Amino acid sequence: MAKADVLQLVSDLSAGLADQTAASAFYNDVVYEMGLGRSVSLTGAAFVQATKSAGQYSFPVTAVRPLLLFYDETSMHPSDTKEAEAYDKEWRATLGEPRVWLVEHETNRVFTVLPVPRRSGAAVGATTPFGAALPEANFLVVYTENRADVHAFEELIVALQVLGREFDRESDHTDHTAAQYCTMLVGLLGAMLATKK
Amino acid sequence: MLNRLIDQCQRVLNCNQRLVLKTVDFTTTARCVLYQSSLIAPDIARVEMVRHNVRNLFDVPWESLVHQDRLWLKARGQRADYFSRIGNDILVIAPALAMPITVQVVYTAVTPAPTGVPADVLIPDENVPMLRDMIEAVALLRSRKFAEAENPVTRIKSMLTSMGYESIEGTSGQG
Repeated sequence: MAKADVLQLVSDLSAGLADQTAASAFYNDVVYEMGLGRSVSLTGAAFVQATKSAGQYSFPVTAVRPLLLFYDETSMHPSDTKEAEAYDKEWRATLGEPRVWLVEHETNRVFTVLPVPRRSGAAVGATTPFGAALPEANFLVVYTENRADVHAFEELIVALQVLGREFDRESDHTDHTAAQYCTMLVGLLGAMLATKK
Repeated sequence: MLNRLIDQCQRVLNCNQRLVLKTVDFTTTARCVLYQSSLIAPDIARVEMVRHNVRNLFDVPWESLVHQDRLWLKARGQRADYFSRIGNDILVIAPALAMPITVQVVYTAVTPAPTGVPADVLIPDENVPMLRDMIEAVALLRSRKFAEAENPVTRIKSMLTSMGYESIEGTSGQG
């Protein structure tokens, strides 16, 4: 289990000083922030069932940042409200084959498509997009993922990031010099991993 | 503790230098282009190449897929032409085919954890000094001997600079 390994590494490198509860919270933060970064590592994909006349849909629970969005296997473009208005003043009600998606001004973790689907998609059920035929007329989202375990080769860098935050936190073992050193190591080792992308 | 550091540093160095490569046969699914890397092989760090028979498929960045063909997800073809990695978890092999084919996937493998035997360190001898510097730099964090860490850190920076990094200091961890 990568998270357990990382937390053990944090404990080892801090000589047992790190607070495991805080380290666990920092770990979760770091993994989430990895999903927001421009370097894509943890990724997932899932179907979102399309419903006739429904324009708003929720991203999968574990999605952090959408990378690709398809409707019925056709790539959709991200856009903004201004462009949607220019396209059609009644864009929230216009039915058709969705071609554009927007998140601007939408509730958190929701995307809006336009035109709004004119038909409901085939049942998705437990089907995943991997190694299976795609159910007709549904959305497929590919995204950076927030999950419990990072890849084995990322454990050290995540541990150093956690440790940097732990040393920066006000506590009986606060050590800003160590925190800076961790940040420097993260930069070095992160650069090494970045070259493999 | 030392084994753990060797293990972790070896993984990073191996990913960077692509030292431990493996090849695995993988049978695609008809009319499907998306595959989970972990199902192709559990120890995949990065897919380097996909071959079909003697033909190497083109390596296309995932951001470019849509520029090549907006309908790439549903495009059908007579043979697989290209592959793409979306992060480290998703592999695209496209266009989709009507029948499954077997391709060879060449990948950088995650190195196994050393057990204390020298043979467990799979990194070639010429890369061992770099590995040693990495281990030393991380280990000195534990003892907080930051001044002594200057030498290994400087050597790591030199290596990265020689690889084309203009500013190591400004490089963020995951990005």
